[in-house]
Amino acid sequence: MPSNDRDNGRNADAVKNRAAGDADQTEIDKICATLLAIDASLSPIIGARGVNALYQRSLHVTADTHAWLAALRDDEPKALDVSSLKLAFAGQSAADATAAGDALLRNFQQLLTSLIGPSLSERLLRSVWTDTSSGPAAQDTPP
Amino acid sequence: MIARMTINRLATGVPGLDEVLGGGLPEYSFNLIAGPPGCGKTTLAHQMMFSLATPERPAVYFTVLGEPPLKMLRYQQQFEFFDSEALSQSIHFVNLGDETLAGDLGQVLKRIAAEVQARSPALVFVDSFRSVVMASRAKGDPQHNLQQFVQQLGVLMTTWQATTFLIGEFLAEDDTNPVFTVSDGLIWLGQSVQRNSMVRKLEVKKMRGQPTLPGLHTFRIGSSGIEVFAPARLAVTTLKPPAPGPVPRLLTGVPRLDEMMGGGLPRGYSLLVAGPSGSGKSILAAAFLAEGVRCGEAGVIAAFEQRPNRSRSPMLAELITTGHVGLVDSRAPDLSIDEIVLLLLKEIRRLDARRVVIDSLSGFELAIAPTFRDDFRESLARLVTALADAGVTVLMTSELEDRYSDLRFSPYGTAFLTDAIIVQRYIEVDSRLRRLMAVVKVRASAHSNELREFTIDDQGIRIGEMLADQEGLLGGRPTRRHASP
Repeated sequence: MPSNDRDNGRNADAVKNRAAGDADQTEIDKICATLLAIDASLSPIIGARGVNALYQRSLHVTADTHAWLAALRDDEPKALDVSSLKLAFAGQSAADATAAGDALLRNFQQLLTSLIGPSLSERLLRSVWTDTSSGPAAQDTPP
Repeated sequence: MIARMTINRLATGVPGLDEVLGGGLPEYSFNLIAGPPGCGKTTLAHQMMFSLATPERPAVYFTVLGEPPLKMLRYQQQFEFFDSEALSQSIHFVNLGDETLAGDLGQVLKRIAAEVQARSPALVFVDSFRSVVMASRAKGDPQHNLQQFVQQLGVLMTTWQATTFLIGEFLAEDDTNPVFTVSDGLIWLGQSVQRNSMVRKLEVKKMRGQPTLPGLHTFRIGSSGIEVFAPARLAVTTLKPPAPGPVPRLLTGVPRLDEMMGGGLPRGYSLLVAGPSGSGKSILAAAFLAEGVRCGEAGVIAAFEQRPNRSRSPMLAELITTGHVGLVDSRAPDLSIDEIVLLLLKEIRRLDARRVVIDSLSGFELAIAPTFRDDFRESLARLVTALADAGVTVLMTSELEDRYSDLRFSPYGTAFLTDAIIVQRYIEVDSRLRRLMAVVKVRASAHSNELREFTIDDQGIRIGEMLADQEGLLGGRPTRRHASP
């Protein structure tokens, strides 16, 4: 499905654009804002606990490369809370925080895609990428 | 004169369901879709929703506890009717898990009301409404709470002009749940398991204000969703005076057999060809179809041989390949007679066919799911009637164990269903097996009463003469007749 691949590529670029650059407070805020926007889009459909379960799984997977994220895992069924993530980012080097945030968003998207497919994931998160994208316009992948 | 209000009926988009419902779903009705786990309730709800919802007339699908919404989306999108683009435009999923877990039924109702007011949906689904009440911490009788919840929901939805579906698990079919009383419609889904065969069945137990088709109807879940096999609508036959002149006759492709039948098989008749294995029934059936094609009439054959490619005659195979004869040879493990009737009628309409062959009834009985075998005779009567209503002429073959003690035509007692009967037998003469054919019955027509010998060669069936010098033919071992002194 080329259009889905393209959409996913665009979303991935959007993630990259948003997370790239110096991991200053603005970048951390952007990553957290994206997570909250995802939560706002998905919670009404799959429930707040459903979104948090996906978030926890994404943290677990991302902790393979950014071990300090493991400390944020919390298996209590509740709504998504990004305050501890914000604190943890602040204690990391700029480069590591940016890379971890980037990987976390990407892993979340990949997890969702593996469960409900690229087309539906794209449909459900379309507003997130449209509303929160602030980087340069995404380019189609050259053939 | 009082002007009666007309209730708008919605086409569900589920093949066969509108017929069973009695013309579609009444608009603003409040319906239950009930049945045990795994019977297809959610699939049915989704299929109707994706078919009916539009941006102007959107649907809201409330998910409660039970199947996690993420999994529901994962599996439902496997069906062809699932359209991701419809989400958030004409279809809105709303999860009520948090409200339900809080255990406050009032809060759940409030949230549903708020969503309905915000989105003004034409369609509302609550899946599963039973979990709402199960999780309720309200004191008192849970049945009473359920009834009260459903009643309040019913009032709310009807006044908001939404056609509503509550989806819920009910294990016992004869559940005398008061909720069933509150609803306008009740669609029950179930499964019938016999040995290792499973058949899905659907029953519209109730649909206010319209004549539904009563009874259990088979359905199947395939990649395109649910398909219901509604029984062929039996036309109300009005007694028409017979057309002047003799009934036109169809040639069978075996010239001397036509003579024996009094000039061919009358159009619209059903003919049963009964005989033992290898006696030439399928060859006669193939000749009947080939003769039709020669006369410009397309045909349809429902074949149930164990090895279709090996046993089919080259002539018939050619007619099928060239599209002159349509083939129905479903081997679905949950096959029902109603489905075969639908498949046959579809082929008849597609080809404008005039001749139909069912080869054979014995194979047919083996091909249908065990759960239908008890009613085989009744269903066969429905099939013959449906085909007669379609105006086709039918030839059915029936495998008959040679019993030389009596003259039998069919193991199903179907002889009375058919307008004409031809019987084939083996006899032993001079240490050879020879074949005999006789026309036993042609309704309202003169026909031969002769037992004629026949042979089969490359050209097909050749009918010979009577074995006038033999007697006791039906006993299988005739003796030479002695010349009278």
